[in-house]
Amino acid sequence: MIVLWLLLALPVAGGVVAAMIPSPRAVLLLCVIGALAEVVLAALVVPAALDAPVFAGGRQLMLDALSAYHLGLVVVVFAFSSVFALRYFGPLVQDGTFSRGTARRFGAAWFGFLASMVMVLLANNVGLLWVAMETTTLASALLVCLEFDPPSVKASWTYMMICSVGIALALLGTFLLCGEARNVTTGTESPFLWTDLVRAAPRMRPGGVKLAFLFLLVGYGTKAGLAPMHTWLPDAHGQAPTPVSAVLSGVLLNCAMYAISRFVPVVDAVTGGDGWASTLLVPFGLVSILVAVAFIAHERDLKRLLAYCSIEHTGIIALALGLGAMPAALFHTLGHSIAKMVAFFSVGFLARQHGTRDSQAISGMLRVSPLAGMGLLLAVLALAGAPPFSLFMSELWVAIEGVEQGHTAVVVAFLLGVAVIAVVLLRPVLGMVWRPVAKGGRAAGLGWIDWLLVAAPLAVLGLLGLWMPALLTDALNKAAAILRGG
Amino acid sequence: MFDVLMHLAWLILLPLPMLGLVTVVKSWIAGRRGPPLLQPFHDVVKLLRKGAVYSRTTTWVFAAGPVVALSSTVLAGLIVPMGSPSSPFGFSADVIVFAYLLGLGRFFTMTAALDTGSAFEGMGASREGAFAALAEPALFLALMILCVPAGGMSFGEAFAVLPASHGLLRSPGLLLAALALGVVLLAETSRIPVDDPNTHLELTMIHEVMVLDHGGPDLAFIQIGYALKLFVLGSVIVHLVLPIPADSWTGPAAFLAGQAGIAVAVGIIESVMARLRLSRVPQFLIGACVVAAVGVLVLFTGGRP
Amino acid sequence: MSLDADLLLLLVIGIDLFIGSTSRLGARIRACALQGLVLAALPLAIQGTGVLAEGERIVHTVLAVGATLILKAVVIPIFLLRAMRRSGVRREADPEHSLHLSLLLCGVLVGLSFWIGAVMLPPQAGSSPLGVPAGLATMLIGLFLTISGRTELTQVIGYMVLENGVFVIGQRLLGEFPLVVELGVLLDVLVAVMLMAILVVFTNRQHEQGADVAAETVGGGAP
Repeated sequence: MIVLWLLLALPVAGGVVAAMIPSPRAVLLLCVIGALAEVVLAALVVPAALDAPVFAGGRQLMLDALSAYHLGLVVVVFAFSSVFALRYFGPLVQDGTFSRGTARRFGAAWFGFLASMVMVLLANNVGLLWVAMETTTLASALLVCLEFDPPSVKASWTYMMICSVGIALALLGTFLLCGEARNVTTGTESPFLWTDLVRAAPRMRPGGVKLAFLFLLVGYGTKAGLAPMHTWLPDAHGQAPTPVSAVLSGVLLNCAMYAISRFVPVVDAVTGGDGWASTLLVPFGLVSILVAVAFIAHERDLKRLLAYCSIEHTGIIALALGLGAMPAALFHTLGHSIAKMVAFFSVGFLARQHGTRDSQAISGMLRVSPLAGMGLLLAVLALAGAPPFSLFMSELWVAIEGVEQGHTAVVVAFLLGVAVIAVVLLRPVLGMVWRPVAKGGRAAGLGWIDWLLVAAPLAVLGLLGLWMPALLTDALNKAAAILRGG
Repeated sequence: MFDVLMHLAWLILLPLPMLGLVTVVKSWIAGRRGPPLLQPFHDVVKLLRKGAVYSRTTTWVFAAGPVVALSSTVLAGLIVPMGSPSSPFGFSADVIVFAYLLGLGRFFTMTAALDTGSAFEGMGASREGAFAALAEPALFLALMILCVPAGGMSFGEAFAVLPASHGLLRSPGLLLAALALGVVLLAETSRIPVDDPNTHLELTMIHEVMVLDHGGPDLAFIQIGYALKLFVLGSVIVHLVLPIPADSWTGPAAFLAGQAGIAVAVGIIESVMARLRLSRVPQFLIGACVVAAVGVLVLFTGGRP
Repeated sequence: MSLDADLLLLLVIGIDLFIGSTSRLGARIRACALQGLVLAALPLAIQGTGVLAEGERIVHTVLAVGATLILKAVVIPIFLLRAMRRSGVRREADPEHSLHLSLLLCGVLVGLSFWIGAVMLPPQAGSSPLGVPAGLATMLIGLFLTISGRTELTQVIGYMVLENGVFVIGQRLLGEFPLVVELGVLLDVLVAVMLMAILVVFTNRQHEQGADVAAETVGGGAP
């Protein structure tokens, strides 16, 4: 279908144009327009894809329910972040720090990042999936060192180095899997197309596929920030400009988890559904949660705090996948992306108004900056898993599924970890709220767009915790069915 | 009978000229005329005519060193096939005996050096011991590559089952074994890059410093043993690399050509390389061990000897 | 499977061991280039020169071999050598950080990869038994070099070795790559190393100026 090609072509064209526009403000506007247009395009094709997979380019590109669900998330988060980028970089344009060169670099990399992530979701060819995933690293590394100061270059370097190594392991996993598939595929089946892989999986040898999945999990898991491969994540997310952090944390990690989850049904089919994949996913998930506890407790920089929190949530998603709670994993992905996006937006505003990101140095948050303060407080509450937000529901869902499957010990460890994280995550934020104001006066007001950026997603999150629209339930079930190999 | 005579003839006639050939090659590459091919022979004769001086602090161990070193090397030389697939003196499991005969000679050379009580000689013995400990695993692993496909532990059996040749290179495993043995040869015979036979500074010597106190016939024995060692290890490598037919003419011819090739190779290595720093020598030998270990792995994985 | 392919794969392992046992960056980069050359020759050794006669695949093979040769054996090494000269780092930062041990470890890694290759992926009929072990060994040694590297340049070299290993394994498992993966590998190597080399130069300049602001300083005005 032509829309799939358009979904790819639009950001690529946007990137090329953005690299040639002279005015920084025009670049930012173009980003907003491009992201919104992408939302419209996605809206055209996602409903159809939820019903039946949509193919293009001789089955090389495919949009099925699972990727459509993730695609919706990606384009929405990108649209919000593009608007936020306009608000965030706007003042910098005026004082000249966001120069023409920076703007062009930002525009090209921003669109390239979007294109590569869309490519990850659209690829049916697992080789293409890998290429797209590597391209996300390159594009986002450029975004991380946008300001080109030593700490951000260092962070970008670490990010690129670790993720390139990880992604090379994933390539090895891909080769191992396709090498196995090549022995059993017949006729028109291609060992590289995911649709054929799933079909041919029962005929493959378990040993080779298990080894392949191990490499795929470690490789793409590096990109997803699963512990102990997470070490690049806090630096990259902390040093990147805030709109970039929002996208990195909000949807890039999802894309990597999506890549891992794509291979779960293949492994399940090969091993006859004996839960081998979950014996790998569950430990990685739990370790990620525990590592996050240790680091969140000692972090003062708000952005790094949120980055560690991302490790926790990636861990929860991996755990949910491992426990077989597929719809819960997908629902949690949605909640985490939106909450994390709002949290980064709020930190961006707060840091602007207070001149620092140090949680010990900010005081009287709600009084000085009501919108950003309230946004951060609510977003962190949501991330900590407090009701009525949807993350509470999805974590509960994971726990129930886990107990039903008989993994009580795992669930207990998971709930303990989440509870401790709630405490250590809320402590610095509450401190920022209650600590007496050192210097009085309100910060400069924020416009209605900013209110929209922060309040609307939070409202949606709260609503989803209380009421599930039939449309979403339907999408979750269809996507989960794919993960179960249906 | 002809076999036995030919074997003995090679063993007696060839080692010293082979050492001479190394020197000739070195001189030729350096653009000098160099000593004649038989110079080592003249040296040995000169030494044999001299008397020996023994320090009063030494015991019989000191006198026994050169003799045992030479005789054990001669015995090793009897075991190794030369110019035919098996040696007339070969027996089952002679590979192990071969390795330990080399070890025995080294042991007595070292104890003789220690017996002098001189600091220099003790230092040399310690170095020799340390490097030999690293070279030995490489030697054994290389011999293992040789013996495993044959299923027996003798040179005769091993060389009998080697596959037909593909030009100069028979199989990856054998190539690696030959490489490892090459390093062992350089180390055992104290050639560059492990040791410099012509060095003049005792502090950097390994082998030469051990034999500083020997003179006259003792030194001659040591020099003969040294040339023999080069020849014996060289013949193992030649048999590994070259297909030596059981024919009574082409076999010896190929063998001689191979030995000459080894002498030339040693000469070239000595000319183009500098001696390694002492601290780097272990790495060179560990490298040989690793190469030989990879050869063993290739052997077990590839199934092809 | 021809003997030539086996020898080439052995050469690949030998180069790994050499890279693991030297601390001179220049030697490492040149060895890496040599490895690229061997990799480029590998498809020809596997498929035999007969492939050049087949009309349809000739373009593909020539492109693949040529691109590998130019990138892995010429362009990237030259780029790395230039980066090395500019940064003035000639040796691994800590030259005595036991090279014996690193060489031994490389040997252990080679053994490990032979074991993994034998246990997990028994070679299929008609393919060289050395393919997967050689690739895995190269990969593991590359990973080791990347992790243990003290300077950015060493890490890049390690990464290149890692990539070479993946390349070997892919070639042995899949026969020949479908074009898309092949392009991906080459593009990835090119772009990644370009960026990394730029970063190397940049960070080194920062070190020289002493402006290496510690990343842990929190906040500090910039939002």
